[in-house]
Amino acid sequence: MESQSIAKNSQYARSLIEASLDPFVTISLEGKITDVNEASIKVIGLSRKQLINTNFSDYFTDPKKATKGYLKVFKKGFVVDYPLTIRHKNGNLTDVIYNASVYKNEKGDVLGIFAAARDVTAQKWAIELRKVNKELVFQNEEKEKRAAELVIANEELFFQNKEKEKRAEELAIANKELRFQNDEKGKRAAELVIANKELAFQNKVKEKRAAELIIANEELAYQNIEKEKRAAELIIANEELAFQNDEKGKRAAELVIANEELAFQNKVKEKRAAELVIANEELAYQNIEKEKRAAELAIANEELLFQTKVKEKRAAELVRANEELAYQNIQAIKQGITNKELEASNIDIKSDSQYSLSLIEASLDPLVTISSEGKITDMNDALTNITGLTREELIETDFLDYFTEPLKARDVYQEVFANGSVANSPLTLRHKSGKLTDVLFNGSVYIDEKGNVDGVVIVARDVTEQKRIAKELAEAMIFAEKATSIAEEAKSKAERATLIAEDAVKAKQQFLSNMSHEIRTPMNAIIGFTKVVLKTELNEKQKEYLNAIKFSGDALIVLINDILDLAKVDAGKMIFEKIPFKMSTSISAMLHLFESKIQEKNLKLVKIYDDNIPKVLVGDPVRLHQIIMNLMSNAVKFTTKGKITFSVKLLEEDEKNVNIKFSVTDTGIGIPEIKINKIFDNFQQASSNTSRLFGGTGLGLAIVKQLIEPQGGRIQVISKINEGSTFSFVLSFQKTKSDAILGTQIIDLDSEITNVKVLVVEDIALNQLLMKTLLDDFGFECDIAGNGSIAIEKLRTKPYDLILMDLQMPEMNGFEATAFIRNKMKSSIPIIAITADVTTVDLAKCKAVGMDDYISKPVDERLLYSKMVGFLKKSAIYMAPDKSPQIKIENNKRTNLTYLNNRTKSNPILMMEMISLFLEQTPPLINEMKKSMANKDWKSLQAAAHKMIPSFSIMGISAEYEDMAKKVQEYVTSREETDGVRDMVLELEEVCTQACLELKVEFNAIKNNNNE
Amino acid sequence: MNKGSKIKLFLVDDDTVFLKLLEIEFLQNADFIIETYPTGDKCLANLSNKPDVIILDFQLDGIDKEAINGIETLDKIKEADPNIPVVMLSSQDKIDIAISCMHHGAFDYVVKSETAFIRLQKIITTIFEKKKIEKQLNWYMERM
Repeated sequence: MESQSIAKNSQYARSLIEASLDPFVTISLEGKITDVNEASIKVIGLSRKQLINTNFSDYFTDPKKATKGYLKVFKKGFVVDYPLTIRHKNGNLTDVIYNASVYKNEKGDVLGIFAAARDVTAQKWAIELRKVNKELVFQNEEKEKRAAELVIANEELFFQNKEKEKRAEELAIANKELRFQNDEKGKRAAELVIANKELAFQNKVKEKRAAELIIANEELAYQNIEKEKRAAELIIANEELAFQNDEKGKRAAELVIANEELAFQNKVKEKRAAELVIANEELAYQNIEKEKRAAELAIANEELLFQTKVKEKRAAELVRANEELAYQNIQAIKQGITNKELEASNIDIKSDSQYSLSLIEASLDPLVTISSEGKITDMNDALTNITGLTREELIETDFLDYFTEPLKARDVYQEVFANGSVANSPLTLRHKSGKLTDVLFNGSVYIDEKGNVDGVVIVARDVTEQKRIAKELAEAMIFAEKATSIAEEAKSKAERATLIAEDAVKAKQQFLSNMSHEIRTPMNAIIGFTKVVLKTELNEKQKEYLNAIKFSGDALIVLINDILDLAKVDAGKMIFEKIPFKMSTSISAMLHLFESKIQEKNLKLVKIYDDNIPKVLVGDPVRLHQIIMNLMSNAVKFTTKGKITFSVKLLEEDEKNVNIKFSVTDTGIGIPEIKINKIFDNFQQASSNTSRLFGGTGLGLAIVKQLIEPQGGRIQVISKINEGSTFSFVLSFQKTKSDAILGTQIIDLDSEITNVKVLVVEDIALNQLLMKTLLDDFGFECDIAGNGSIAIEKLRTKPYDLILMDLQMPEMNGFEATAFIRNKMKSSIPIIAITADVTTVDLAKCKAVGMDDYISKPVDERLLYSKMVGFLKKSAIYMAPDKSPQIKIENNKRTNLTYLNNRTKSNPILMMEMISLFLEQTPPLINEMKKSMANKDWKSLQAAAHKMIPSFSIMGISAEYEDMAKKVQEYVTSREETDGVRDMVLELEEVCTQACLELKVEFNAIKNNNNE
Repeated sequence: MNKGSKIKLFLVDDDTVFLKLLEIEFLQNADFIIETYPTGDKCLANLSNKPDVIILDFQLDGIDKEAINGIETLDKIKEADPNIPVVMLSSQDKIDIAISCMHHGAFDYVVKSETAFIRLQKIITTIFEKKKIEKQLNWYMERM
């Protein structure tokens, strides 16, 4: 029953569901349709059977959204008004909103979803209609707004119209104004026509001046003729100069003689001073000796006095003993005692008395006894000797008679009586022959047995000798004092003389130095002009005379240079450098210079070089050259046969220094022993004949000495007449690990440099010959071209390594030829200009046309050689194995200060300022270039290259690099050939770095010169 | 012209080496008062010193990218006083640069080279001759 009702209810619910117009659907947990109503079937267009167990989501236009809604139901338990669109199988779409909930069994487990959809298609359209209405209302409002705005715009337009009318009126006025201004301009044009006429007039004036110039030209031509006349006068003046030259030569000779005289006088003065000093010392020594002897004598005197006294005492005692004995004898007699023993004793006593008497007699001092009346009672032999009288003559005579001063003697005598004795009273005894004897008088009274004074015993000591010595001593002292003062005077005189001499030497040096400078300037002019005149057409006589002038002038210049060098040393201005250099290369280079002369004289050169000497040493190679060169040239000069040995030996070596002994031995004329000390003096040669025979200034060895000694060395000479001389010196050099600086040494005749072809461009045959001889000596192959155009022809047919170019030539001169070679032939072959007169204008011009270096005439062969080798070595390094003329040959120096010199007129301060600015500016620019190259920052690269360009020509850096910098600039601007740019930047960097190094050296050189 | 008879020159170039050389040459060859400036800004700041002629490098911003360049400097000089003659210097021998300089009111354009100084000297002479002629012309015009 219940189940029946349930089934009925279910049937009812089912029909309700079926009756619903809204599509219902139940969906399983798997999303499959489990049941549908009729509405669903209608809306989808499929049968129930077709629908059951299919995916519910398949029937929606948006299955994903349907699934999402379905999942939402599970999550929340329900979903309300979820919009979806159902697709009918015929394609009709039905918008629906879904309301769904889960349904569960009695246990509460979710079995599926029950979803009811409502068809909202009609409802949706109503909503859209409402939306459209609203939009319309809004658009209406907008249109009203715009209408209002249009009204305002209309008003604005009306206002603007009015403004335009006003401006049109103003323009009309402005037009009138313009017309007026046009008229004004017309007027000014007329005025300009007048001004033009004025200018035309001025032109005419100029033409007049041109005419005047023609007249002036004629005047110039006339003046030229005048100048030629004056040139003729100059030749006469030249002769005058030659005469004056002779005069000067004479005066120089006189100076030499005067100098020798001075030196001689100086030496004499010094000798006298030295002798006086010795004499003084001798005198002082004698004085001391005399004083010593005087002291000894005084001591001896006292000793004698003491002995005298002792003797006197003993004599007195003996006298007393005698008296005593006599007395005893008398007593004995008186006592009548005739005792033989007594007699015997008496005899003994007598003999005793005899003994004392003989003692008295033996005394050398005169002894005398005088009675109280002043008569002599007894004496010894000494007194008889001193008075020259016999004992008999003296006895009983007045004692006082024998003194020169009897009164004084009396005083002494009386003093004896008064005081009982007197000691050392000086008196003088007179010999009967008149000879006087100084004595010291000692006396004492003697008393008889009763105590009465019986007389006086006097001892006189002969002090004649003593007195004489004392006198002599006093005299000697006075003499010594005198001598001392004389000596002192002489000494101060000598000192004064030395000072004067020193002053004279200083003044002489100053004079020489000044004079040399003063002479050099006019001498240069004399030689220079002589050379100029020599180039003109002359007859044989004139040539001979001019050559004589030139020869004397050259000799004088050498002398002056020597003097200047010496003056520099004397004034302490000689500075010795300390730079690393290669000893052996340096020395063999120098010896090479003598080879031709040695061969010429048929001599042999032996070279001994110690291989233990370190290769690179620190010292002054230039001065070392000068020393060795002087010694070598002396050796060559004074040797006519045999050999010259040059040896270099290592003497000592420690961690830091080496001592090296250099010696030059010749088999020449030798030097007399007495002259050896003199040869190092200025203007000295061993004999005056030598200078006549061998020439030379006599300054070479002086310079050598002056160059060695300040460096801590010493020069030694060993020589034997007609056998030869050895000059040797030892110098100390520092060791170093650094490399020798290139270019400071004279370059050796290098075996690498062979097969050198030189083109000499020179028009004068004599000079051609000279150059050819020189180059043959150097071992270079050489071709001669008579002028620039011949040279160019030769260059086209044959490759050369170097050109020596004269400047003044007919047809095509040196400047033109060089310009052609550089610009048209595009060759960078080294060109050395040979210039007759070195003026700055010429040098600047040489540089400007592209010459690499210059050398002045007369050509110094050493200088020429070193310059040529400098270029050739550079080329040898940079040249590819096959020498094609196109390959560029680099100059050994990047910079050339000729232009700067010229611009600043060689003002050292300005030069230094310029160089330091360059040194400051360039390195940052190089860095900038490198950096911008790396960063491909073309703009910066261009700017840096741009800024570099002007300074290149200022510092004389080759135009080649200036062009290179310009190319960098261009390429970078046009963005082409960036690879080539990289190479050029690297090369520019190298050039600039090198230039900076060179300029630093130059800067220091200018600075040092400036400080001098 | 200044009170004295000396001509005052401004030399403006960021290349200090060239600037110095130019200064040396001017001082050695003529009795000028020379003021040198490495930048356009410094030149402009000192315009109150009343130069008679300014010699101005074209490329002043070569190294310092921030620096004012030659043409800008020229414009500013002309703005401050259009009567100062300005001669432009450049290491580039380019017709368009030269024309551009003339359009901006430069008196002349000189390429940096060995002859630059002589040309500058000539130009300065010309400037003063021109000034003199203008002055004379003005005087005559006034009379007429």
